[in-house]
Parts: sequence; structure tokens; C-alpha cells
Amino acid sequence: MRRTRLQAIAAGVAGAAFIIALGGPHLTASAADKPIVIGASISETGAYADSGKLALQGYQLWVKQQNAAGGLLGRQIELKTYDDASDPATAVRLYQRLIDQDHVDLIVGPYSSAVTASVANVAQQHHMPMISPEVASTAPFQRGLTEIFQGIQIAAAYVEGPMEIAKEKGYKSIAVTGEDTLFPRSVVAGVDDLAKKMGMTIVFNQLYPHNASDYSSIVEKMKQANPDIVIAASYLPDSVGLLRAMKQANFAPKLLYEGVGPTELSFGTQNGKDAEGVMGTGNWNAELKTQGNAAFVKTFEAEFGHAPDYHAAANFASLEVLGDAVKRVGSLDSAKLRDQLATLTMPTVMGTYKVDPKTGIQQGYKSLVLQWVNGKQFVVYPKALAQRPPSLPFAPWSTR
Amino acid sequence: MHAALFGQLTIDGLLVGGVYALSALGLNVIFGVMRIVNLAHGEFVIGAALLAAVLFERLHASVLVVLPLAFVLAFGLGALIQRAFLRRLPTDLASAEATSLLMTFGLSYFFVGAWLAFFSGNFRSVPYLTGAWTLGPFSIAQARLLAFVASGIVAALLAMLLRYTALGRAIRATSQNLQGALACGVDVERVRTLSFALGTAIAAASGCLLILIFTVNPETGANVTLASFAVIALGGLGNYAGTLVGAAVIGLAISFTGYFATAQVAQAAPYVLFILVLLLRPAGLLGKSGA
Repeated sequence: MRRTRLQAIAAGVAGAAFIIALGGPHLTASAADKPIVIGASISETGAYADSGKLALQGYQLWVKQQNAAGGLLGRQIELKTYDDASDPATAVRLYQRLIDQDHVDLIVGPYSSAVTASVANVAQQHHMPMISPEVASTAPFQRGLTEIFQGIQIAAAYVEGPMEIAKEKGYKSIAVTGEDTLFPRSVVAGVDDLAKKMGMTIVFNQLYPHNASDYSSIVEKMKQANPDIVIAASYLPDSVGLLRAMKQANFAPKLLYEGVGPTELSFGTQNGKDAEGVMGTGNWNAELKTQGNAAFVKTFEAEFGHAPDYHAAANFASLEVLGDAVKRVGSLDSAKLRDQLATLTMPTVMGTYKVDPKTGIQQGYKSLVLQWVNGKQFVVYPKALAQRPPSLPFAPWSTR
Repeated sequence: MHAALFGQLTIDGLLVGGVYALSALGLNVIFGVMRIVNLAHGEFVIGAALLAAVLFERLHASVLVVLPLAFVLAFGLGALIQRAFLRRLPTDLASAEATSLLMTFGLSYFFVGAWLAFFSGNFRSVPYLTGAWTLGPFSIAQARLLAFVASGIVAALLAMLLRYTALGRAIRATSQNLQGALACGVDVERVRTLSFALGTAIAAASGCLLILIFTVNPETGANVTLASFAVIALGGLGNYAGTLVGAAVIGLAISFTGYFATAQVAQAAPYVLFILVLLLRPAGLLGKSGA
């Protein structure tokens, strides 16, 4: 009994959906009155919910500001997002739905390298250009895809900063480690070549698996190799774990670089005074003198009640670029938009957007080296943007 | 290899084993009495760990203050779960293990979701006793030593409870022979509830110590559950002294393979041991062979 009723309801819903789908095109108003719909999926739940939320707020703030300023091409803008729960397969389904069923006018990238790598194929199949602010790995751009554009600094360029600083100080030997996954691998891939160019030697090079919990053995090995500097391509949990194991093993290299972990404010709360002197790579900073950055920080805080981070800034900047490209093209023609995104040079809150026209790999945005000094993060590299000179050497544990 | 390095790796391994030991003891109490393979065990460990981290961030509460609080809360939660869910499962032994496995599997997903909603997905740890004491050529990590000693104290208290109290005797009786315990007038329902509550509370205590050493988020509970299982498989299911031996073996395996091979090998080492023991000595290292 219950079953047949459910079936009847299901049939009714399906039928209604079918009728709407058939009648849809005839019932809609003329295109000029409709808002321009920008579609994306974002990790609103799952392990990356916190960063995903900030990324989404970056998108939301730009849309709100742009609508207040008259929209795009005389039309209002609507942001249509779904939650992909940090799962690439779900994101692929959602982008297909955004394009096939929701008929969005434009798409922008999701959160994280892995999710973007999968979604890029959908964009390619539908010839929808997609600027992606949350993909530091260059792997998705080296598959001959023509529709994706990188809206953030590339991972391999991360280590240039700390290695330049080390070279200036005359440090020679390097220990390299990091998590054995796509993004950290891309980061450490740059170290070999740079070391040769700079006349430095790699005395230790070993990665650890994702979800590693105990770093004491790998730190003991690094200590035996006795390097001047340690370059770890790590996220937050492993950068905390490594730092703690180094303190416990009483091992302090002259320079300690820990990837993206130290850029998170939580690195400070989790390590207290031990964070002092640790360097990391950040992509953005509230104090940066990039175009519109001060206003962005202020309006973001007013809108959401908390400070933006680099995710929010990168997503905001990507829509700045997309909006500008639409204005220059004067329509939503995807082929023309694609060409525009490939060749455009434009100042944003992240720096100057410029990609390699062939691959879409980011060339304009510069990575920043941050260092924890007196309980706060400071930009110490590149010199043009530095808030203070690097504080080196990293103090031995016994003197702290 | 020189002696100093050998000594250092041994110290690191034993200290890390101490933390695994406590979590595994909680799991083993539950299995011993109830024959329940509790797949939600790691979630209780992680829940307490995250609670300790949040209370430290907000109130600067010491982990040693949070530990008894978490112990009591988890005891209540464990009793509640036993009364509300596990008690309703069929009790004949053959199907109990399978159905309890499914139910605790579901509970584990429920708690991962609950912790994500409550604590967010952020990785957390507590910067307390992050340094090391130097003893000759060795450095001894303070937090690890604390966790090791605290694990030892909790293990000793548990042993005394099991050996010298009426409840302990009832728990042992129930775990050794259910029918016999029933025949002697042991209130088996009550013993089961208290055992599950006790196991959960020990899990919470180990979480408060674990957070001093590892960085965790709500999704890392499964690793803890797996490591705890490896420990009790080595030591013998229901064998409390064996749990400590199993934990030491696993800690040493991680420490030495991590140095002489790679971190990837170290991560696999506990499970390789786990499989070998299941194949060669299914009753555990201290168990009677063939049992």
C-alpha cells in the first residue's frame, strides 16, 4: 500500500519534471532580464569545510559587490553553488548538473587540486572556460586541456623563496621531506634543479605518507644527515608533527621551512613559542599592497565578521578576472572568453594575473615567504613585498 | 649501528607504544566482556582529544584537568550507548559479533559526523610539554613520557579493579564464561553496561594524552581504531597484560622501520605484524598457541 503511494508520488514528480523540462525553454523570460548565473561546487562539508567556506565567501563577496555596482553587461549576477563534500567524483557530477540541467552561463573552479583535476575534464568536454583559484598543482594543466586557467601560485615555485634566502646566507646542505601526495610532490620537485643551480647539495630526501602520525624516526634520520636547512613540503598537521619531533630530538637546522602549514594562524596556537622562526609559503597577506586589497579586507570583515585568508582572496581575484574578461568580450561567448582569459594581464588582490596562454599555468602571481617572528607572521620574501628581513638562523632549542 | 642511536630508537618506540597501549586497553575491556568489536573506539579517543584541544584553546585548560572530566563524560556516554543500542542486539554469541560489528560501524560514522559538526574539520593539537629532557646521549620527549606514565597508571588501576573488586571479579567472570557468571547470580546486563562505559572512558583518557603527541581531526579516528586492533591482536583479545606487550612491540616496530626503512614502511609495519600474528599465533603473542 505504502509502496504504491510512494511510486505514485515518484511518478508524479518525474512527470512534472519532464513537463517542466519540455516547456522550460518556452516559459523562460528573455535572456536580457535574467541574471547571469555563475556555477561552482565547493567543499562546504567534509575535511576541508573550513577552507572551503572561506573560498566560497570570496566568490560571494565579489558577486555582491559587483551587483551593487550594476552587475555585468547590464544584468545582475547569481552565484549557484553546490556542496561537493571534498569528493572529486561528486564534484564531477555537480559540474555536469550545473552545465546540463541548470544551464549556468559561466563556471568557476572548485576547492583543492584533486577536485579541480577531475572537474577540468567536464569543463573541457562542454567547452566552458574555467578559472580555478584552488589548484596549486600544475599536473591538471599539462594534459593538453584548453579551457582551464590557474588562479593561484604554482606549487613548484614555493621553494624558490626559502632557497634564495638560504643562498644569501651561505647555507649549503639541504634536507628535503614532505607528504607523499600530489601537491607536496609538486613542491619538492622544484628543489633538485634549484639546488644544482645554486650550488647546494641535498643530503636527505625522503617523503612520508599521508596520515603519518609519528615523525620521530624521520626526524632522527634528518638529524644524522646534519643539514643546514630543512625544506618540508607539509600541510598543517604534518608541519606541527615535524616541528614537535624536531624539538624533542633537539634538532635545529639553521633554516626551517614547512610548506603551507605555517601560513595558517592555527600553526601559532598549536605551537606557541616553538613556532618562532619557522618559515612557510603564503599566497596572500592582508597587508599586501596589491590593487584593491585593503578595501577587500575591510569589506570582507564587515560582511562575514571574520578576516579573509588566501583562499578567500584567490577566489575573489578569480571572479575579478572573469568579470573583467566578460566586460572586454562584451558577451558570454565562451570561445572569446577562453581567448581573453588566456591572454589577459590584470591587477587583482592576489597580484598581477597572467597565465601561460598555452597551458593556463599561472605566471603572474608571486609566492610570499612568511616567517613567524614574535608570535606573528611577517612577509620576508620577495624583497619588494617584505615587511621585515628574515630572522636567521633558526634558534637552537636550548637557547629558547 | 652505534648504541646511542639504538637506545634512542628504543626509547622513542616504547614511549609511543605507551599511548597505543592505553587506547587498546579500553578496546580490549569491551571485547573481553562483551565480545563486541567496537569499530567506533577511535571516535571516542578522537572526541576526547578534540575536546581537550578546544578547552586548551579557549580556556587554557590543562590536559590533566580535562582528562578526568573527559573520563566521566565518556563513561556516561558509553553507558548510554550500551543501554540505547548495543543491549538491543541479539545476545547469542554467534551472531552477536557480526551484528555488533555493523552497529559500531554505523556509530563510528555517526560520531565522525558529529565531531565534524561540533569541532569542524580542523587539525588540532595541544602545545603542552613539547620539549625533551636530555639523559646522557638520549633525548626523552616530555609529552611522550607523560603519556607513557599516565598510561601505565591507568593500566595499573584497571588491573587492580579487575583483580580486587567485586565488579572486577564480575567482569572477569562474564568475560570467561557467560553461562557460569549468570548461574552465579552476576547481573550480566549491569556488568556489560559498566564494561562498555569503562572501555569508552579509558578511550577518552587516552585521547587526552594522544593530543599531546599527535595532530588529529575528526577523520583520524579510524587510524586509532586500527592501531588499537593491531595491538590487541598481538597481545591477545581479552588479555590485558598482553595488550601492554603488543603495544611495546608495535611502538618498536614503528620506530625502527621508520629509521632503517621509510616512513611508508613504518606505517605498514603494525599491520604486517597484525597479519603475521593472526596467521601464526592467532591467540596473540602471550596466548596459548592453537587457542
